[in-house]
Amino acid sequence: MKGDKFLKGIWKVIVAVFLLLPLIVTFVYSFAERWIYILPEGFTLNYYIQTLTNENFLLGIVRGLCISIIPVVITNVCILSALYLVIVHVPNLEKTVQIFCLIPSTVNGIILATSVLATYAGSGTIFANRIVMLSFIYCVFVMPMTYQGIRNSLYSVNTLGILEAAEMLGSRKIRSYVTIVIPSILPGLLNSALMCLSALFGDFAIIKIIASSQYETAQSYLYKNRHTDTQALSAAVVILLVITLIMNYTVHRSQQIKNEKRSA
Amino acid sequence: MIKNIKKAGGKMAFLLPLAFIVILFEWIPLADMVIRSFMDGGTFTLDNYASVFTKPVYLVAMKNSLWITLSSSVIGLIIDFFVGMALSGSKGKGKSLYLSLLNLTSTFSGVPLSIAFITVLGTSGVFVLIGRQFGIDALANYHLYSLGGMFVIYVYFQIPMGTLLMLSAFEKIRKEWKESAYLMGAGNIKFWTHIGIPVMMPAILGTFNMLFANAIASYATPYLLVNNSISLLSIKVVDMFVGDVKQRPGLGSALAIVLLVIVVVQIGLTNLCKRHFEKGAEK
Repeated sequence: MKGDKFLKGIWKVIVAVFLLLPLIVTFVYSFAERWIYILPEGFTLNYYIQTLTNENFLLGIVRGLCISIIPVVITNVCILSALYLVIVHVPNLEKTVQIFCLIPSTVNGIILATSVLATYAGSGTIFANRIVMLSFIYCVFVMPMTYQGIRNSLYSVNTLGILEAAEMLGSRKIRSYVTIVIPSILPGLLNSALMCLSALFGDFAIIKIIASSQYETAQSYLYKNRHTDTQALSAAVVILLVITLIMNYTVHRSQQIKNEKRSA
Repeated sequence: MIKNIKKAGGKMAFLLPLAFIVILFEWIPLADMVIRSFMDGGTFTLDNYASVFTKPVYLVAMKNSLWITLSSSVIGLIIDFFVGMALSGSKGKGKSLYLSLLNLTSTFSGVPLSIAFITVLGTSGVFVLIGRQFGIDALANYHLYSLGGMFVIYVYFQIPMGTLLMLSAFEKIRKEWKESAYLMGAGNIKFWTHIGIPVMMPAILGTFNMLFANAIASYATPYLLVNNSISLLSIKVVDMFVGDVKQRPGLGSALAIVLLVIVVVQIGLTNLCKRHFEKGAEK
């Protein structure tokens, strides 16, 4: 048994080193002045200053965030509204809504994006607009994750029971859905929304297919500048990673505060 | 159901926004894609599929995609399984640190991950330099810009999510089962091959599905590293629609449908296996 534990420990360390290696190298590289031999020669913050004052990069981050937040909000609203109908009025529609929402997990982003592009590009409708196209594809892309998050939360708080109780006290169902149920599942909602957000923020394939030249996000910025200074590029990678970290941490934190409040 | 829908009446409008998006941006484009794959300039044809299954360039793309997807998923799954096993036995601060590492690296993918690997193992990557300095040929001659070289990145992004999924499966294995198996004289290996793994099989197969889907749809990494020098299905599909070469939506649609069918067949096969094991659990 002791040898067993030892082996498990070694295995964990090996995998952790493998996972950490690119992170650490990128991190050190972003501070390195010159790195031609085994060890970097001196450290500098210049590459961070250079990257953080680069207008294209900053705009790319803002664009990336915008194009990720809007679809996540739209999808959440749509699914919350559809599940309200399912839970309160037409329970047998549940299976249909589930199929609606889970198909995109089989149809991957590339197929989704190319099919939408081929169908609507040059159609002369509003859907031919690349930004509109991109937003809606993103909506479909995050649907499975959002659906599962919301569904689990809604069933874990006994939505129907709450709505019926509130109705007896004279509040309309839709009103109590918005003012009682949704706020109470907000932590779960935020959690899945955030996961979707970071998935979209890290997307490159879909944006490359739909709007590569017209809408440059941070990811496309990285791709475009892949042959420039490795140090500046590493700094950009670290900055993007920190943004994702901050997103995760915020939600984690808000959940913790909520839990503390509850237990107090 | 119809009765319920009638009763709900105007309230069905709550479903409209979702239906609008799903129908317009999922069903219509997909149906359109299927139709387009059988069309050539307005007439029905099977030529697109004939080219996909006869021209060497597409056959190679399919073979490459299947090879890198299957092998990285299997290896990823094995790594995930053992890390999950090791983690399920530990607790406390070490474990939560490890979980944070997994969570952090699960968001590390696509372009940033590929760039990080270029700094580590690219033509003048840190480890390549170290390899040259110390005469370690395997590192000095590492060729990241190839199918085999790229493989390491595929394995990398298979680890975090898969391990998290495996860990939750391991946590369902109850301590009592192990104890009673040991009491009845089963060893560690016997416990896992006869009880542990069969019980976890649905979760293992589910994880495999996710890894497979992840790898076959991977686009950023091969686009950045090998682009046109090695053909992969995902790259070929996109090329047919937005590439620099002549765009061929008919052929592209056929390729995309083939990609879709591969995923569907794979999920179907694993679900068959899954059902077998779930039945076993019912007995």
